[in-house]
Amino acid sequence: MDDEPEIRYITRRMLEKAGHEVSEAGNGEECLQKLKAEKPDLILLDVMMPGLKGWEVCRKIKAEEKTRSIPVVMFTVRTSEEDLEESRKCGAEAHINKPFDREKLLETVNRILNG
Amino acid sequence: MKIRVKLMLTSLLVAALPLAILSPLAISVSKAKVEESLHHNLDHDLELAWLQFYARGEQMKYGMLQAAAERHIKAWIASRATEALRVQMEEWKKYRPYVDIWMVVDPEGRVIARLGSDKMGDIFYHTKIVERAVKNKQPVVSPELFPWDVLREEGIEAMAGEYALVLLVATPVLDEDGDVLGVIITGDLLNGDSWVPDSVRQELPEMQMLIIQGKEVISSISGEEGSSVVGRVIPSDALEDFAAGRVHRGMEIIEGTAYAFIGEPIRNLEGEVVGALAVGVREEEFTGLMGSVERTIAMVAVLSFVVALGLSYIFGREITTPINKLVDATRRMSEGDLRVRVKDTRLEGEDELGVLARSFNHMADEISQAHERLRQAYEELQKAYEELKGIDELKSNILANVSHELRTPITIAKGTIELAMGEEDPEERNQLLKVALNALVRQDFIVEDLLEAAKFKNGKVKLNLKKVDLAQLINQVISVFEPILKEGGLKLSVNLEDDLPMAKGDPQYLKQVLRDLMSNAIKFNKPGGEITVEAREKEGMIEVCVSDTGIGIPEDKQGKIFQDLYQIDPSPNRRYGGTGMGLAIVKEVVEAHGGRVTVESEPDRGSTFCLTLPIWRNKDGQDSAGGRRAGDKVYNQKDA
Repeated sequence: MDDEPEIRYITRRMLEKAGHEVSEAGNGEECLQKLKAEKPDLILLDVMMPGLKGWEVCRKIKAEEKTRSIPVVMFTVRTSEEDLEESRKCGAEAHINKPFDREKLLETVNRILNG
Repeated sequence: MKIRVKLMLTSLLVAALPLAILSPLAISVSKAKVEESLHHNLDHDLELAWLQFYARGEQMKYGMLQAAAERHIKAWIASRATEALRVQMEEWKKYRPYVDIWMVVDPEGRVIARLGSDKMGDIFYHTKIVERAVKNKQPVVSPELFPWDVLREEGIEAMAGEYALVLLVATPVLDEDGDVLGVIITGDLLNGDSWVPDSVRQELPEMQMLIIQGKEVISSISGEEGSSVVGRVIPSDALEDFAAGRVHRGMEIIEGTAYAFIGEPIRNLEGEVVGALAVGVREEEFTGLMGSVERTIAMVAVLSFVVALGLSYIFGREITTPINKLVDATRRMSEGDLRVRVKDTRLEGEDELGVLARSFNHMADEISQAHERLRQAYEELQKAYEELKGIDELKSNILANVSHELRTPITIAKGTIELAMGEEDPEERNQLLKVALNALVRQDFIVEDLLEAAKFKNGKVKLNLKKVDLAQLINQVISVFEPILKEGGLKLSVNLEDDLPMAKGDPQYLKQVLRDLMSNAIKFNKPGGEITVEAREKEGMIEVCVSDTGIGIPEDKQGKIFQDLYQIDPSPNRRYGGTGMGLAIVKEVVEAHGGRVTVESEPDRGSTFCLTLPIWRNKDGQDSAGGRRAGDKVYNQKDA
């Protein structure tokens, strides 16, 4: 999930190349809506978005019985210690800083999916 | 001690001191006056006593003068008819029982006849009185002393004391030629005789009268009161005065009652003191009068004291009530009540209290004003501090925002380039590189925005003013936003007035201004919302307005949105990106052109930003029409 279409685009490309199936959402509401129908193996969440913020979406996912078990990875330009703490508090499994590189993204995703 | 109490004590003291000093003075003066008048009365009483004292003498004198004129009396005396004279004297005595001594003597003083005994031929004891009567051929009255044994011949029993005091009258009897034939002697024994005192008392009731002889009282009023006094020994100081022929004043207690006495010596023919006469009034009359004088003065003093107390209470209240008001006001003010003022009709005068009250009120005004100024200054400071604090917070948020804005294109560029590097299909690769390029262009815009803002802030901008076709410029800018409008499903209306005059401005900056307004209108719009761009000539300027139907701006934030780096929701989780420099730059640019930026907005209904720009004037002063009417363009597409 990201409000920037270009970022969704490149993330999708990178993940699809690595053999993952990708479903996109442009904002938090859309993301939560989609989760009612789909059950992904992992969710990537941008923090700064119009509408629901990434951390709130994360908390909602973790609060819902059905979606609690899905690992969440926050990715954002916000890299301060407080921001990392906020990600941990909402229950996210990992945190990827933007700008990210493909290796780091795939490494984190694979580690969580396999671990 | 309270002022009121002090005032009262002071006035009491002021009232009491003169009273304390004056009252005894008044009492003693009054007493002296009363005493004087009483003594005066006593003197008067004494005169009356003297009259009574000599009244018997006069009686005897006139009686014997009559007798001496009778022929047979003269004949009997000339012929020494002792027996006939004795019979005659007995006859006389019947009518004058008070006369104790009766005798007839010849001009040499030899006794011719006496009533008390048969003795004849002896010389009368008081020769001088006979000599005087013979010499003057006139009756003589004189109080004289007799030893008691001398009076035995006159048939008088001796009484207490050394001498008897007798009022003697010697009446000469003359023949036809005027020669003295003999002298009739009559005498009234005063010892034990209460007639004189009684007759004085008849005139003056309550009066005491004493006849003194030697050291004691020989006569007083009749009755027990008088008999208790007769024989009483007279104090030596009185006797000394009498012996020296002086008047004496003194006190004597008779039957338990105190009397004030005045006494005067009784003198005989020769002027010798033979006794004393004294009259007295009850001491009570003295003391009673004195007492009433004292009581009156004391009453006046007490009354004055009470009046002073009352007056001091009333006048004290006149002073202390306003003072208390002042004290109360001062206390309240010291407790922080700055509104307190002193109000009292007694404090409006020109006296010290009035001046004090006015000074106090003036001071209170000054303090209130100073306090108010301080409070305002404090509030301003507080506000400035809050603002500064806000700005400080803003700055750190801005930093986060700016970094987000900068990092997003980098993220895109980095990701696409990475993908492109691994892409073998050339068309696909080109597409990826194009996205990367766009991201970099976007980044460039952002950097430029920031730099422009900084330049404007530092006043380093120089506008390159030209003739600008605003309609053309607006269409150019709109065309850039077409893809974004499509993506957001936003409807755009462009409504430009026909024959819009050319504007005077810097096209580069004006483009940026319009771009900023457009991007705000898009950014803060709702999905499926509308954007309207209008331009018209208005009041000698060109007005351009950009409206949206977005979230709007709360009224209290409308003034702030043109500030540097201001974002309505500066939290890190804010919905809308952007550096926050946009509107600040818009305002700076438009005002540098001589125009104004205004905003009208209602939360949840949308905002309208309008700006005015000057019209381009040719040198002949004509404006130049040349605006091109742009057709409405509608972008309406579902979200991808």
